[in-house]
Amino acid sequence: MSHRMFASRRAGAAGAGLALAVVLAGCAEQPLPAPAPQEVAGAAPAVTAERAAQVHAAVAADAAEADAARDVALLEPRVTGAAAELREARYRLQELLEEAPGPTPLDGEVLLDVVPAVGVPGAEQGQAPARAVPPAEAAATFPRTWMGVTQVPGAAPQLVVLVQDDARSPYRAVATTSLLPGAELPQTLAPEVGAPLLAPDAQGLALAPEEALSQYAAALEDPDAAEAARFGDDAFREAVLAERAAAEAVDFFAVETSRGVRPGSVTAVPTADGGALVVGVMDSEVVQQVEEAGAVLTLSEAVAALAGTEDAEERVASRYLEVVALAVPPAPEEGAEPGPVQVVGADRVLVEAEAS
Amino acid sequence: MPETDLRAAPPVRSARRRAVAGWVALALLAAVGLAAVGLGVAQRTVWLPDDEVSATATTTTGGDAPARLVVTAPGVLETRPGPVTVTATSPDGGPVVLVLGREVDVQAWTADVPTAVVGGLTSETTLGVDPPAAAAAQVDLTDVAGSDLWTRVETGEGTATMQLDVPEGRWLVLAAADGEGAAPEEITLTWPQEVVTPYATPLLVGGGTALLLALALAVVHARTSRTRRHRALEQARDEAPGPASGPQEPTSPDARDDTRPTRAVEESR
Repeated sequence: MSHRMFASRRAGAAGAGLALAVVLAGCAEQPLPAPAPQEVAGAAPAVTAERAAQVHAAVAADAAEADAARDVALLEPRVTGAAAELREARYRLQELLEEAPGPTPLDGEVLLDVVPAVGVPGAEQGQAPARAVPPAEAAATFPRTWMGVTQVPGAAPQLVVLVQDDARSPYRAVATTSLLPGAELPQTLAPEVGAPLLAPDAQGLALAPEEALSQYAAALEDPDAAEAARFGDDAFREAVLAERAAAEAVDFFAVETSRGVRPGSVTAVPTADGGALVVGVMDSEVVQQVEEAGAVLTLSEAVAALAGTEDAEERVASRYLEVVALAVPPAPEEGAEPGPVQVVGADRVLVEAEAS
Repeated sequence: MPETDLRAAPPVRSARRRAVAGWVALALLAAVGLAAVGLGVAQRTVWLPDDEVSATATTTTGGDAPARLVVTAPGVLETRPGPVTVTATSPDGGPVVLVLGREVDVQAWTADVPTAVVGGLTSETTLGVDPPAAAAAQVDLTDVAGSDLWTRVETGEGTATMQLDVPEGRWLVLAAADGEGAAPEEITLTWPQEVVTPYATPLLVGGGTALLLALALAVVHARTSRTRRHRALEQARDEAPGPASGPQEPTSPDARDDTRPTRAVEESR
């Protein structure tokens, strides 16, 4: 009996010790967990896929509202630059001519987003610095640019250049152009792969983006120019040259055209083949000058509407706004011929006309 | 005193002392068992740790300028594992906006605006705050929620809450009132917590066993000590016949001296 008693006493002591251990364990200090920053991706897409869809929708909504009201002011939040100028010129023609076509809507299916990568400052791939990117350096990753292609059934696909000027500005469409029938866009890089936006004078291409545009402008002026050989055939050049030939065929009036790439309008995003998709804005002017007194030129409907007269006796000047998209191949191998630059999109609208 | 009395007395006295010691030990065992069961139950009930753990940052302290924005430092959302719930509170009941953005986007958005930065834990329930520097320029922030940079936006009056599985990469949460006014005063991050009570089961089992053991031993002890007492009394009576047991054997009034010892003897056989 007595040793059984001792045994249970020992058990009681053990139980009491266990209880004490539990209480002590509950009070024990554990080190506080520290913040666990994830690794830094060296590059970030200019826009996330989710956001891109929302930006497309917002741009399309504002454009649709403005198109319906033919009111440029309504474009302001989401459409600016040449994109707004194109629409403004069309609204003007619509007001003057009943049958003038309105701008192509920007909504519909999103066929493609070409999103360049934005380098994250101070971040090398795979690092996990505890400190955030300093705000000033982060702000320096703007402006940001990407391109998207949307299409409403029955209309030409619209290539839209979207720019976010700074972190606190919205993405806005700065240029739109229609894809030409049969145009094939080059394969584009996934934004996560990380190719940044190209400068207008970027090397490594068959032609630097700005150079490609100015050579195309020259090719539109003169089908026999040396520059024309660099470009594949396209419907837009065909139409412009045909129009010019028709003007030249008019008796007693001399034709003079000029065309220039608008400075600062060139946007170039890299493509998977090492080339670039280039969008730029051109201003062109067609001047018809009378060569023989007494001759009268009957103006086309649109020019007549803008000029406010049916015919001209001295001079007709029409100004056009043109937005073109070029697929520029990469620079050729040493000694090889560069591939042709292909025009994939073009839009042109009569902006201004005067006749006397 | 006769010699027989001297011989008879010790067994009775030592048995009684042993019996008392036994009862004390049993009571102790029962008490310990009860306490262990109590602790075990408490661990599962009143002491059960919360299945959430929260920490709060107060953004109104210090700084050269009142904070207009609050952002979390990289990794703060991931301080503890699991989805995090971010709650921003403005005591004046004004508008509160919570947004989720990539680090580089959020940081760019806050440039030149007095921004408090929520840092790591300074205790189990508080988060450190890096107060804002003076504003470098007057910046107009009109539409906090409307930026193209955010992937999540939550708004509310007085308080806003965002529950999120922090995406892969570097993401920050930014809190603001309307952008112009003072930022929300409190930012609370809440993470889930795994609740483990490793001692509860051993305590319940051990305590229960101790209690049962104490009960069992109490029954045995009660019988043996009574038998022993009676045997001792019988011995004493054999050696010194007569009603010597009277004062030492307090019994109920109806108990008869001649019957009880006999029964006890029979029992012990």
